[in-house]
Amino acid sequence: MNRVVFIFLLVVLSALHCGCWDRVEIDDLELVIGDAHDLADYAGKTGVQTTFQIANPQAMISSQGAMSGGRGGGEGGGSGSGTFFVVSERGESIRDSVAKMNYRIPKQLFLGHERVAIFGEKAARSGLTPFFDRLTRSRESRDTKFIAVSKGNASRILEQESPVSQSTAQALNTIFENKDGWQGILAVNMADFLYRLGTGVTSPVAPLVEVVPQTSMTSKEKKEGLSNTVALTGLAVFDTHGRLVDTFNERETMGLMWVINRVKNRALTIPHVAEGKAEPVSLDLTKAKGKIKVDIEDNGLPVFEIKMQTEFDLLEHFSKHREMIDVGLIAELEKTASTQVINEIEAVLKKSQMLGTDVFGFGEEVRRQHRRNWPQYKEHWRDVFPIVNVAIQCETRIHNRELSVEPPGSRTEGEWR
Amino acid sequence: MEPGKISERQLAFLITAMLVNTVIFLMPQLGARAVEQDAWLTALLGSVWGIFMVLVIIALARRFPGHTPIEYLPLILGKPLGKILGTIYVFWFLSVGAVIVFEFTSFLKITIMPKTPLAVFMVTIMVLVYYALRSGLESWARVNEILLFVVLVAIAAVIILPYNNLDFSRLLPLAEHPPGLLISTSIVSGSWRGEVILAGMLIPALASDRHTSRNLVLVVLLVGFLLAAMEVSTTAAFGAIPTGQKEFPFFSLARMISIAKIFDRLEVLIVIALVLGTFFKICVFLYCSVLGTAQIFGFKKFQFLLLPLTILMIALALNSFKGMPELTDFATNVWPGYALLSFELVIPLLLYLIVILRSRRVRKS
Repeated sequence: MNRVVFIFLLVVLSALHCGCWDRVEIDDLELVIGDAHDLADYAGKTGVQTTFQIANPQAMISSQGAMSGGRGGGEGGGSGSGTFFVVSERGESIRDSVAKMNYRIPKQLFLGHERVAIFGEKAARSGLTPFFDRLTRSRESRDTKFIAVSKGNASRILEQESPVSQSTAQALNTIFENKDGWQGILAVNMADFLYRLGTGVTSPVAPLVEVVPQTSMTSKEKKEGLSNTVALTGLAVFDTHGRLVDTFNERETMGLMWVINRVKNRALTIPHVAEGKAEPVSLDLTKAKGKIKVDIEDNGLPVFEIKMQTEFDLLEHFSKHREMIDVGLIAELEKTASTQVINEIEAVLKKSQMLGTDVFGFGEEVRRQHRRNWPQYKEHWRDVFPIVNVAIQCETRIHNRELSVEPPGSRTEGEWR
Repeated sequence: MEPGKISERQLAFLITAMLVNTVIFLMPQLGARAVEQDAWLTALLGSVWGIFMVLVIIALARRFPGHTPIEYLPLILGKPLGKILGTIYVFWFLSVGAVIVFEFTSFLKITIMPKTPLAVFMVTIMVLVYYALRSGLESWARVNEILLFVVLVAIAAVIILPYNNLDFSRLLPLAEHPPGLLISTSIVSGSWRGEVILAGMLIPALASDRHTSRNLVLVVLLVGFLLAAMEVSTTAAFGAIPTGQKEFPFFSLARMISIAKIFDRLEVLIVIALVLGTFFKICVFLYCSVLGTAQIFGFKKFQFLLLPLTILMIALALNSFKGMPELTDFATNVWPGYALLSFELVIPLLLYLIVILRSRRVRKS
């Protein structure tokens, strides 16, 4: 009897192991690698336009070997098309527009491998909150996917072919993955964005992408007219309801990254005055640490103190002078670097206070450090934030100078003619 | 009645498998929804209720050695009342078991196989449970001894592996919510911890009963710690508010795992590990309802009740809820009253008080 039951179970259970009703072959899937969301007119009302960038795996694999980078129309694989194709539809909701794609796309759309979600400027200005419902509800989409905002229509970004990668979505994904924290690159994944949106006081931010003219081209590419690519050009700043307010430029973005501790790799170029002429000195960041301290003043307003600690190595001294050997000079450079960092933070502080967007999480810091006082600010933090006082301190150390002691061929002051 | 004997360690392992599963499906969401970033505190507070329940059930078991609660209920309350309460208890085992089956199969359906009918999952796992229970308590308790390790490793992996996405400052400020709210939320998470009273049905099958209370208290603390760690991790990864907006925060957390692009997309492995743990949980609940039914009616054997009750549990599970919205509503509003505030803590406590008062009166006379 037991043996009969056992054999019966073995047969029944092995029959079930293939995935039941949800069996899908990978051949039957279209792998979406990037999605773009815009607002568009639909049936006389404001609807959404969803654009998918869909990988063509055969072409992608063969073009990896063939050096041709991205666009190899026709030369890759058997399907006879480039490394990706784009599909775009309009509808009342995201899912509504995706459902319409099925009339044209032969295989089943699969969003499990999508890397970036890009939102158009118009959609961002009207508020991103409704767009995130589908992106979080879907069991295919992940919270680690990157968020970006485009200038103009987001579909434009995905339609663009990239000379530096197989597809723009992949290019953006690689930038976000490998260069998060470099210069003004602040990668924001969906979990980060939604965390800030969820607090109700901290303003969400997202990188701004744009189609820009390509600067590095071979003569063949120039002839073909492939002259554009996509690039990060700043940071989009949202209010607490997820509506795009304004954008930060590179310098302001870098200032923000100091404060929220997201700087990983940074070349800071500061002027060094020698013989009345400013010469650029580039420093390489080795360590940065920012801290926000909150005090409540007698008048009831919170006062913030941003304390930065940075450590650099000397990266380049674009100069004819032989001076880097002098220890006293290093101390002077440290002071200039500190000023530079403080200036960057001040720039972003001024801008964000003008916009009334608390991108630093100052409100959250008040809540954490003075939770008894927090309820009195909570409701009108938007009005309090622009008038709070912020003191910025920065302590800098410059440690090493890589492999050179001084510029080759350089002279000390008097000798130079 | 139960011919098999289990060791104290096997009991502790069984109770661990039982307590740690399904609470991590829903509780991070409910906790974050109620008290935001303080959810993990309520998970630890819930252990206090758990320890209390362990002490009560052990004290009762010590008074009636060799008897299950269903057997000693008539001894305490008199035959008619005791049998009625016993029947209600057996129905409680069966219905909570059905809720667990529903919760777990819905979880599988929603996360991995949305198109597959719920009944397929239910029948599959219940056939396995039936097969395990037919083989006797000893054998599945022993299998659990081996497999619990896998379950705990999977849970630990979900907690630890997303480390590059965790920001622990999101857990501040600590204890922002009033103590009353924290305690009332701890009752919700304590309700799951209170399933430890099912140990009362298994204690008579113990080969030795020296460290049972110590073991069970440790188990309750361990589970409380694991749940708290899970809630710390989900809150640090998503923030308190988004955690409360997710249906299964721990599953979303498992999806965040991505280490060097190699350890990626592990969530299905983790779900498979949890299938093991929930399997034993359902085993315990079905075993208790079968054993309890046999004891109410005074049958000498219980094996023949196994099949009808398995089918009854599937039927109950299929018809209990329409979907996750109803289940979440049940877990927030009904479950604490159905579990901790009645069957798990209050009734056993009243029983114990009656026992004490009676024995005192006997001693006086």
